[in-house]
Amino acid sequence: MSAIGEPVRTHDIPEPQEVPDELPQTEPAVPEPAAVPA
Amino acid sequence: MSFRRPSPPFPNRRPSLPEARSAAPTASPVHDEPLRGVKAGRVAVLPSGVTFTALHAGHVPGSPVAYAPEAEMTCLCGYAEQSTVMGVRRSGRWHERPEPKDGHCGFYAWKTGRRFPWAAGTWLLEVDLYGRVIEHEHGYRAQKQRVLRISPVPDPFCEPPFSLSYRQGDGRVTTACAACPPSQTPGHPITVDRLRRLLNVEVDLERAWLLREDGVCP
Repeated sequence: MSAIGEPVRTHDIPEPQEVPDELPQTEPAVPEPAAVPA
Repeated sequence: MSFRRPSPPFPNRRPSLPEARSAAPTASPVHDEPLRGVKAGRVAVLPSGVTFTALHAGHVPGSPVAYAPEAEMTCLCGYAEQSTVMGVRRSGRWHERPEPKDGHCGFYAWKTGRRFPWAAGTWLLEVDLYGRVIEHEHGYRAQKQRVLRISPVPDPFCEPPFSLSYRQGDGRVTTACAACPPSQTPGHPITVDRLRRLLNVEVDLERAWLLREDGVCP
């Protein structure tokens, strides 16, 4: 018998998913200034 | 003295809950999160780069004992001596993933909180296990493994601060303290930051020492 004992259960575990540290920005943080007529 | 549990090594990864999962009563449950295990191993600087090596390195014929921080198992069962059936020697079977009742391949790790043999000169490895994982009474055999955090096991009389170096020859990375006698063959010093960058795992020089000082098993 192995040092880790007898098998008791079988797991099928998918690859761990990486989660990005920060979500990508979809909009600019500072709004664009309104166009000023010359 | 209480056990100081450090912050999670990879905050950008989803946390795993091995205790809750392992209590599931089903025969073959499907989990989304890796199982957490601990083990003893070695860190070595080899011609191919910095890598982990198993404690039995050099004792198993044909054994690819070096593995990367994130790796898939290589079956060694075909090298094992097989019993004979009616005078015919059975050939060892090779596996793509661990099987519960056939073979002994896979990345081995102990369940967290279990006492297991470790010795000065080795490293405490905390790992995530996934793919096909065979859960045993005291540990696991896994198809895939990712090393998350490592900590060197110092000699019993060593105290922080610790320093790292690797030896010429076998390339083993070991730790020493200020009181350690100078080695007959001085090794090449390594900084923690350099080792962390090379392996992309958390390196904690004092975690294993703290666990031993506190009498807490890994």
